[in-house]
Amino acid sequence: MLQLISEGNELSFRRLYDYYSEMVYNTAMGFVGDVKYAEEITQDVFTKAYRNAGSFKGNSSVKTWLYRITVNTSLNQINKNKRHRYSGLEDIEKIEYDHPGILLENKENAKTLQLAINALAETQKTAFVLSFVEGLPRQEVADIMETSLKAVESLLQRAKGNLRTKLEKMYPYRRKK
Amino acid sequence: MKQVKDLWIESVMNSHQGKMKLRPSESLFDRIPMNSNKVRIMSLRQMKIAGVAASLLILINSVAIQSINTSMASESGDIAYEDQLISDYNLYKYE
Repeated sequence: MLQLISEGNELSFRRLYDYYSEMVYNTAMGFVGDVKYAEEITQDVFTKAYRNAGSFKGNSSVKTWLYRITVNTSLNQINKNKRHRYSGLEDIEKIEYDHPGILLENKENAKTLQLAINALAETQKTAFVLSFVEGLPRQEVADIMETSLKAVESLLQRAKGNLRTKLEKMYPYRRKK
Repeated sequence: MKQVKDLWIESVMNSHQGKMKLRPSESLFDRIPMNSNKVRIMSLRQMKIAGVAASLLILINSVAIQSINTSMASESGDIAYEDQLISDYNLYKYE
């Protein structure tokens, strides 16, 4: 399919989009938690996929390849947003969080979690979002991150520990409300 | 107090449970730019040929520019000589 796409076959590209756009979009939502940015990321991911289809080596599955592009594009978007908007944990009111898929009663907590996730190191953030937010199996996360299963488990442990510490610091904010 | 805090942290950590899968908007596919800036990978042979062609083009152009300059220099000499002749013809002053 990617061979056809690299030759400019738009029908094959449409099929690829129809099959994977939800996956890409939901993963992007897991990273940025905002419809507008998730759409931008999805658009970017498929633009990159279209342009680079010819350089796909086949060392991984198409799904894993698209996940990698999504992760990198999402991390870039978060960094861009951080430079423009976020300056730390205090900015809870300023973060743009609009996830229509989250249950209404969980929205505020999900926004708080998003803020804490944003402050994690990139590898911990990726492992956490893919495992706990998107619910992917650990082995698939390891394949996407091009690392071992053991390394993913270690990243998840550290991510959870760091999130807990960050949330403990954020708790007084919630008590004030 | 600690227990309440721990419960809150747990609920925050699990806030994505039960979330629905989303679909991107219908118009998103149309916003993906296709057929523009498509990267074309050139082989080393093609690169070499392109390099030789570019060098040849530069060489031909420089030779052409040089020959134009030479002919212009000789032409300007002729014009100066003609000017001199014409002024020599101007024997009578018109008043």
